[in-house]
Amino acid sequence: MIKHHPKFQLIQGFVNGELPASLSAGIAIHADLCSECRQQISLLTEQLSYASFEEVTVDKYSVSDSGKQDNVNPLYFEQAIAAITKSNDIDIIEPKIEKNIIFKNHVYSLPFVLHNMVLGKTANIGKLARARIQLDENEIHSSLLHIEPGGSVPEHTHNGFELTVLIAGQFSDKEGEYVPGDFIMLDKKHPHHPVSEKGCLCFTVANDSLHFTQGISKILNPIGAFIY
Amino acid sequence: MHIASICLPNDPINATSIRMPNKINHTELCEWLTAVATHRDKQAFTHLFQFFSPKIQRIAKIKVNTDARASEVVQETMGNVWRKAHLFDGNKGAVTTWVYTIMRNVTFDMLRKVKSNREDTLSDDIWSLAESQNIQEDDFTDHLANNNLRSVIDDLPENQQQVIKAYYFMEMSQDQLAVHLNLPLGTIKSRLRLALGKLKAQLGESHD
Amino acid sequence: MNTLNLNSNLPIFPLPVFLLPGGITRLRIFEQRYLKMIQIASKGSGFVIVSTKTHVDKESAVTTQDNEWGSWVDIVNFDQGDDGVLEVDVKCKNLVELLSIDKDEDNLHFSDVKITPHWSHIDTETENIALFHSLVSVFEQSPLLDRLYKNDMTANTHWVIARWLEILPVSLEVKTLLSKSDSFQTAQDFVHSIVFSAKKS
Repeated sequence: MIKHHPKFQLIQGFVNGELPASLSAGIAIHADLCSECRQQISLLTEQLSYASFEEVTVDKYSVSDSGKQDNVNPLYFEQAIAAITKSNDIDIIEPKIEKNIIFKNHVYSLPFVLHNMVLGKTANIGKLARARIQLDENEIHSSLLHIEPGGSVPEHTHNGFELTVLIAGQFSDKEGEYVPGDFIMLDKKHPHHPVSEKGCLCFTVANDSLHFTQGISKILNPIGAFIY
Repeated sequence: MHIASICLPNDPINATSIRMPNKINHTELCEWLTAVATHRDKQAFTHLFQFFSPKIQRIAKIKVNTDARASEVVQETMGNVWRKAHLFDGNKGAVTTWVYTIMRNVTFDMLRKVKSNREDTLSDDIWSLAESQNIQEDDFTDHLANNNLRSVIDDLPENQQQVIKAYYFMEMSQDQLAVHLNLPLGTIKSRLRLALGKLKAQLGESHD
Repeated sequence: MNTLNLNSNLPIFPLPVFLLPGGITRLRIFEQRYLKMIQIASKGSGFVIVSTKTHVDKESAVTTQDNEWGSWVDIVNFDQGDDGVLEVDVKCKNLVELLSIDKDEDNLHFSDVKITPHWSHIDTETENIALFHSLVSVFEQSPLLDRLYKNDMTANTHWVIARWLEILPVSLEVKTLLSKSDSFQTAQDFVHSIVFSAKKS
């Protein structure tokens, strides 16, 4: 059972469209597998649409009309409407087609939200493999991280945040074992050391390189920039 | 302290920006959108445009900063409404919610273009329209409950609407405290009395 | 004017409930103006629960009282109850002093506030294990409290004392005395003398 969910504030940012694409994708992957959060998202969407269109809440910055309907130049209306309605084409939603991704000899079904994102070349170190997702969000890096059975990421903390969403397989750290859909958001207060006995595929987002805490791992520090 | 209306009558911003809530006629919106879907009804679309575009313009302005970009959001959102009307299912949610998601997606893609210089349109994958309809199917009962609730509240007499119920799970009763501490109620009462007496003495000393 | 720690125009929710920083409670919201409050508050700045007696129960002017204070809360979760009523979990982040109060056309009140320091807002190095265990057993008997605090439990002395103060059956006036910034020792003695027998005289 999924035990780790995004915090309310994140879900709120997601529904508002205020999160970067990387974090939004992480929540979408989670919500695909978590009916509880799906429900919260749809409830919140409804509430926000209500807040947006139904009730005009206190908005200090909009000095608009004085109690009447919003008044806009009628000529503008006509032109805008004509521009839209001159074509009678409709959008056809194409059915979703499964898309797979292969790491070593393991085939995974790619989460729908990642289908149109551009993946970089896969880089390998030992039992770890990483493909960057090219979202161009400056200091925020998103990746697919694959761990082969028996592989692990050395204990590390993080200068910023580090999000891991488990897509398939399992891994565990001292907090316990994780299942697909688990949404694990960590900050620098939480050192962790994920180990995957059976192998796994994760979606990761981090806004800075990792910081390894175990003595011997310091030598491995380049791995930090590699993974996240 | 003064809870009354120190309501700044001279402040034009406050005076005009707080407006009466507009009661929305959801049935009408739904009829218009259905007419667009089934008959490509331009008159119905004009009604929808008149209803939504000023609101979208105002909301988008806050997010995308310029009037020009906000107008783009309006045009793009309403264009989507025109082209996607057939995908809307009135049994699965309100028109306002559907338009809100389109507006949110259009805004998201535009901001990505501005900030990351990316021309991708990821929003439909992140908040898949087709999928959101599925999601709402799961939550159908909740949605109904929510709408029922509003009408129920609206029907309450004014004085009942004023009542606020809160959960008082926070505070234990003296009985509960007695059970919890495994002591007779009398002992709890006298402990409380003693503690309060001592407290008053202490605070009396330090706050005189 | 000192602009530090000032926040303007937060909505007010009048409710006789005592909540210190770190405290969580569940509210049921169904009145239209407070649904509106939740919409405003969920945009990020929260709202203020005001428990003092001069709360908003009259249409017009209400008497003046010095140092009106409230608990500034963030929405941490929400859901719909079995009866469809909106249930909102809120967590107090600061005690605040209300500076000027205003209301809108829906009779929802707003106020500018100033953060007032309180000991429960500060982590200490010390732990109070005895009171912590006692508190845990209270929570265990209340499924809701248990759920609300499941990620927050700590034996930190300030936190434990603050939670005890919230749940003890003493009047709001008494609790308000202990909302002062310098009241920690008094508060600790007070909780001790109720939960454990008052051995030290």
